[in-house]
Amino acid sequence: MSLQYPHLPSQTTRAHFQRLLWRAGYSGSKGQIDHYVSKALGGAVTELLNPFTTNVLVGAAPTANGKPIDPLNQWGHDCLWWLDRMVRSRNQLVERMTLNLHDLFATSNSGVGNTRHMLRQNRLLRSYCLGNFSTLLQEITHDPAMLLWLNGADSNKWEPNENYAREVMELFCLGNDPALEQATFGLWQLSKSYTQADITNAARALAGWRYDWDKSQNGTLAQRENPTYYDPSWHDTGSKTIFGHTGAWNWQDVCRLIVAHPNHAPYLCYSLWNYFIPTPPPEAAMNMMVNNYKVSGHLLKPVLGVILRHPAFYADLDAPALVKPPIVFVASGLRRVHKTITRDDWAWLLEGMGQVPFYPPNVSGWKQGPAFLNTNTARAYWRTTDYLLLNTVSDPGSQTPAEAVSAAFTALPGAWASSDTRAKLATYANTFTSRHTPLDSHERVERQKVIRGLLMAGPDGLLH
Amino acid sequence: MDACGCNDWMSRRALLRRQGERVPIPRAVFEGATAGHSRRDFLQNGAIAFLTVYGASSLSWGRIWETAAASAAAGVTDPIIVSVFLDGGNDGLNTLVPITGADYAAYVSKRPHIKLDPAACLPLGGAAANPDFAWHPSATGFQQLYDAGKMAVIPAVDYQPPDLSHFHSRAFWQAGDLVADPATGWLGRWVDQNGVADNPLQALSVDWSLDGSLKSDTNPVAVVSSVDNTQFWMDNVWTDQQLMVDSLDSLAQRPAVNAGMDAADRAVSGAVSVANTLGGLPQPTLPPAGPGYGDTDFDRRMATLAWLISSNLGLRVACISYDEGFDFHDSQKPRQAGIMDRLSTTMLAFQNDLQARGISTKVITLVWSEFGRRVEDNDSNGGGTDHGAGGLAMVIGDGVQPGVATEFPGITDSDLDQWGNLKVPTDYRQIYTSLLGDWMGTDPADVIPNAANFAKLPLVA
Repeated sequence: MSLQYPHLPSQTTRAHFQRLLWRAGYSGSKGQIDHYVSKALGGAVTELLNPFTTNVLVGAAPTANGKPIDPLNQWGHDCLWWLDRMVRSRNQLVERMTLNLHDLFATSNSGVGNTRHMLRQNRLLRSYCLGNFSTLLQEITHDPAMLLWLNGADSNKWEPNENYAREVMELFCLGNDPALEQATFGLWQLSKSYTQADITNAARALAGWRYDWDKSQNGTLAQRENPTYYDPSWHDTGSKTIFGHTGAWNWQDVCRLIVAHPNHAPYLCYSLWNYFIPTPPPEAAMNMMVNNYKVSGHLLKPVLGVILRHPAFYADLDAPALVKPPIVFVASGLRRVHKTITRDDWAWLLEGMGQVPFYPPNVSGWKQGPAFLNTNTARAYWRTTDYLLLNTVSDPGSQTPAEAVSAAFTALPGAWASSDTRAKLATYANTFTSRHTPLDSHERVERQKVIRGLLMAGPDGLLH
Repeated sequence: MDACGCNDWMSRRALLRRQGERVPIPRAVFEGATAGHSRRDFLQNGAIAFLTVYGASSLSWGRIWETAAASAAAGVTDPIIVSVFLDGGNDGLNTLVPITGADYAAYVSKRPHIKLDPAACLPLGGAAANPDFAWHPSATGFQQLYDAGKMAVIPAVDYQPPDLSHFHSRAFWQAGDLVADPATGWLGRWVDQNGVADNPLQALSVDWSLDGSLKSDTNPVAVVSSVDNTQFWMDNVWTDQQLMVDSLDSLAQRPAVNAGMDAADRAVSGAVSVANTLGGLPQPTLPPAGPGYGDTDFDRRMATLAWLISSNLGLRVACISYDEGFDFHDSQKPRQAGIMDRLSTTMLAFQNDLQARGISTKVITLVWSEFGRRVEDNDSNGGGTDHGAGGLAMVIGDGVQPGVATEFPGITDSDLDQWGNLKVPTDYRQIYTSLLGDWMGTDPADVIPNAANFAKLPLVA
């Protein structure tokens, strides 16, 4: 067996490359799009899948109120720290996949209560986001944030705590929605689903990790970063049966058995697809993703290779259907207006929009897609746009209404607008101009700013 | 360590599943002055909060309020169900503690970390006194309601086989059926069968998003959300701000070609509609709460609900979720003590509020959680409990037949299932058939699939 990929679209336009950088990252500037166009679509996908190892962050380091940010101690600065990476990183797919994995392994600082651990988990997700999922699962199973979040810390052989055992199966790795059977063309099977006995026994096998509360506060930097340790005397060495396999399993065995479970590969591949493409995977794509995942020894990269090369990824270029998650809207918005992090408002703005990084609403993560949008959040996307556009427009000088619309598109890389929207923007520019002719300097700025605002926070701007 | 974090209700806006239309709630509604008022009167008095309406996109907000005002003339005459959801799986055994015989001995031995002292627990007195159980020491509000003959308890209610997943169990309870992704909820189907086509106030979620129990197919239902700034403005845009807002709205006026575009168009046009409707009105503020409530958001929402019911808007069913979570995998004892105090205080205040408003005979409140917890405790951080079966439900109201309404299956080793969980003598749908039939006076078979399999319980006096 070998890795399999779909044929790339044979005809490509600039819109293909814009789509790629929108969904596999946080939008691309004109220069970035030019760069990827020069590599052709296959080359562009390859570059995204093979991140740079040096000079990853480009541009000015993040500040707030004129001072360097302080993610560990200042409210909201954890959010700024990550947003900054999304904005400045040359490895756009890495940052987008890190966000996707944060949603998959949803861990909230509201339960962890330790920002240092949250940032550590973030680095863990980033380091494996194109890599080996099997290893990532081992690592996150004893990640300090996760151990606190789902009670792995201090679960023990006398009284094993089931919280992590259940969620690692239900939400992170195996799934339990009967609809998955049809959606994966039978690759995922309800009849093979895990049972309560599997959860109970996995909880026994997982027990043994402990958390040193004293070292978490008073230890060395490394100890404060990770005050967990394995205590064999807390581990149940007895025999356990998990998914029909019997042995004296430990936490590593649980991870191994989960990854080997027949429902794991289809669940994970289906879940990853849905982060990038709003239509369900066709059967051939499901088969390719699962094949690549297994053949590669559980690497994410060849699964993402299928997704980023698939024609469905480039479908409906003239009518995108994927809702921008609020974090994506803010990070891409900063890139589009050529701003880096210089203020801390993004943290509370994201709260109003309904997606605060490091604070997913619960262990199942954020409801994606249209669920992000309602009349409250639409207003919040607009308010954020007001902050994004602050001090970005100076008097463009005399322009016809059509030139004003055209200038707004040029200023906002990756701006997509339907023909209907373009016509209505022209109507706005014409109406404003005829009402206020001759335009003074302020009016020329207002006209330009409103067109950009309508492009960014109008309904088309909420989609990518 | 809020174990699963299922209960950060401030983030529930992120859980919105369906797009709704947002309309203002006039101040007059909260002052009980809907009857005889025109739409214009409502607006002149100002708006007090917002309502998000589902399944009624053809209804203008003016029409909604006129319908509500018309129903106000009739007064509160029909029975009402209020559903209070305790998210995360409340531990029934430490809410209503078995304090006698073999069950008590088993309780002591299986719960070394979190067991409660019977001497400190609160007895079940009044006309339906029961010596076998006692309330959590902090649940003073529940004790008063029970002793006053206004409460029935269902001590081990669930479904077979119990699933122990938060997300499945909650979906099943909301659906009134064992389906994981239900299209409608049990109360939503009741509204479809027995409600009206033009009054979304008949069915309210007093929350950030629509409770799954209320999802309807044909008749409208609604969410009351919070007060906030609704206007669209932009820095340095003042020459023609209204043209900007009108243009934004115009972008959303088109046939959508996919679900994402539809959601974006509806969200934007809905937000502009609210902004235009409320522009220039006085800044909304809520009236003060009645006596006995605490100062949590849940208190504020329950007080709001009492006002809304007494305002005669034709409300028949309402859902509300508690602010905090009950998923105590660790540190249960101190966390549950606080939550029992706050929850039971609010429930008592709500019942007293209804009584003061003269409508307590018209409302039954169902308090439920998606499952109970494991009989044996763990020792995580001072002791907690894992997901279990057979939770505790409570039914509160003047019209309730008080007492311990159903069998308690016992917690000695031989009583439990193979996972050490309570057996499940009572199906949650038996509560639904009882309330739908005996309280609402409608046929449960209209709403609950296979209703005949779920015998009614003695819950309604």
